Amino acid sequence: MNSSHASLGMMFRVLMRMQLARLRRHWRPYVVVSAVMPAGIVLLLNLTNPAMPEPQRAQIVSGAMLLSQSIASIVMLSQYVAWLKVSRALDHYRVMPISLEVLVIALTTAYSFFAWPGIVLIAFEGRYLDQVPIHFSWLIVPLLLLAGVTMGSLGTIMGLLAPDEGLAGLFGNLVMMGILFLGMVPLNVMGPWAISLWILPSTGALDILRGLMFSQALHPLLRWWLAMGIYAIVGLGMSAYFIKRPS
Amino acid sequence: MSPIRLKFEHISKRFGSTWANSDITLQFEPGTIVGLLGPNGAGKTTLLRQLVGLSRPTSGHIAVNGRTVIAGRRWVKDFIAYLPQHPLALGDLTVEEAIRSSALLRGQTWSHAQIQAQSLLEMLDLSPIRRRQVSQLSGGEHRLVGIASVVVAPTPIIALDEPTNELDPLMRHRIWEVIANLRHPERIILLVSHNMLEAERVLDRVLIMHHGHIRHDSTPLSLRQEAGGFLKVTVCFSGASPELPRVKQELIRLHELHGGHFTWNGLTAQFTAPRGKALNLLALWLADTGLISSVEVNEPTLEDTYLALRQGWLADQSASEEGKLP
Repeated sequence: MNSSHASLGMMFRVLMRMQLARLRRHWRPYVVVSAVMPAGIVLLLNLTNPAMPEPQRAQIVSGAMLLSQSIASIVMLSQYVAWLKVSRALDHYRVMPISLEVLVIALTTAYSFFAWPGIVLIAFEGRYLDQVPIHFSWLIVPLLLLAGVTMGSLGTIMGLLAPDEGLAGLFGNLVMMGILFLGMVPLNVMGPWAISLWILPSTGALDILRGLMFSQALHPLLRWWLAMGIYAIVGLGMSAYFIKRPS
Repeated sequence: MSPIRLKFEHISKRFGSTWANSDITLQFEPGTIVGLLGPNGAGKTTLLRQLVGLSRPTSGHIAVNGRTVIAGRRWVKDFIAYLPQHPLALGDLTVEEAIRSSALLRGQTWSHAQIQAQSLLEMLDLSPIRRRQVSQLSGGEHRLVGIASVVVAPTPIIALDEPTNELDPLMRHRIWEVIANLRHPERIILLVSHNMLEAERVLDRVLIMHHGHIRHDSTPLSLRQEAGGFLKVTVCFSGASPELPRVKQELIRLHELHGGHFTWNGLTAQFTAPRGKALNLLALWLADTGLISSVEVNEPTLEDTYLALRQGWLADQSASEEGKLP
């Protein structure tokens, strides 16, 4: 009797479809929630300080974009993974003949997509409400995917280590707050606390995003692409290890 | 291709201070369907979880074709399909998608997965709900989708934990048929079930677990012969009579004398009685009472045998506990 297994491509397609199917019933929490808070912050700051200088407005807009990504990839994904673990539905993935690394890529990519409508909304908000000159580069697409995978890996690990969904959400919110501060508050204002925020995967993503959207300077950003690539590989490996680990 | 070989060698698992199973050594022959039976907490599910690598044995190892099962290894998942008791991660898909996706992830081509999914949808009466989301199904329907997702691409070893839980009688019947059809000379099927009456129809071998140990390991027939030695008697009384309480008392006395199972329900008594002379005498005595409408004597089922065995274990346990008292 022969046993066969799916190709990595087929595996990714099927697993992605399984994750995206979640939008059929739950699109509101996934798509709307990740958009509302960051877009609301941009609007709020615009209303409270209409005379804000352009570099500051640009910082807020790019920070809000990654905040939207972090809500989907860290807060929501950590809660979902914690639910999978607590309900033991994760066992289903653990016994299927699939690569757990591919599973984590599918999970993190799908949750990355959930934030995209919010990111587009914030870009429009920045361009037409805040009058920030945003340049679109196709490199933003792989950047958001890579940011989704790095943040999602962090969310996955938090979900796997948290004892329940509630605590996973709490940890996720704390990390999200870090990303919020890193994205919107100038580092010199944050004093010694700024150092701790450099361990977040959003740090490099934010720098690259600002480079691509506002200055279009690619060369100084190469080290960040490399750093994010390493972060993603380590994050994926650790997530797969924690899923694989037997009781 | 060499037939599949599965071995458990001195498997033990400890959770804190409790041993879920202890020093279990088993070998499984290809082409067999093996039932793991026993009370709640006997260690049956733990044994299946160890087989699929979800739980690491505290000591001992499990080998498939001579290779030790290690958690997360792809070859383990290629060889063993597992249906757990709890829900699968298929809740967001429709019924049809869930079955097809399981087939695709097990390496089937799109067209083959589609054909297999269609055939299972019809076989398990899932066609009317094929477009419903799995998370919106009832417990029984959810179970059927779980079974379909395991059998859609059968592996050389299949482990099923309570496959007929929450199913109606018709569906249970169909599931036992599906399991019987999975029998293959190069496949081993291990299943945990509390439904012994139904499981008996498909089982080639029965393992009875109690407190983490294998207490019996034989075929259903030889288990009944070894542990049985009794017959199941059902007596229906023709009507209420002043004599009936006396008859009941006498039957209870006989039951206490020989042990076994005894129930009294309205005008029907059901009990186990030892084979041979004692049973003949009992039949004669019952006939003398003149109160009998019918007497039925049957071979005990696997469930009756299990209940009788369990009673013996409990008696042994209380005897040894009494012996320990100062």
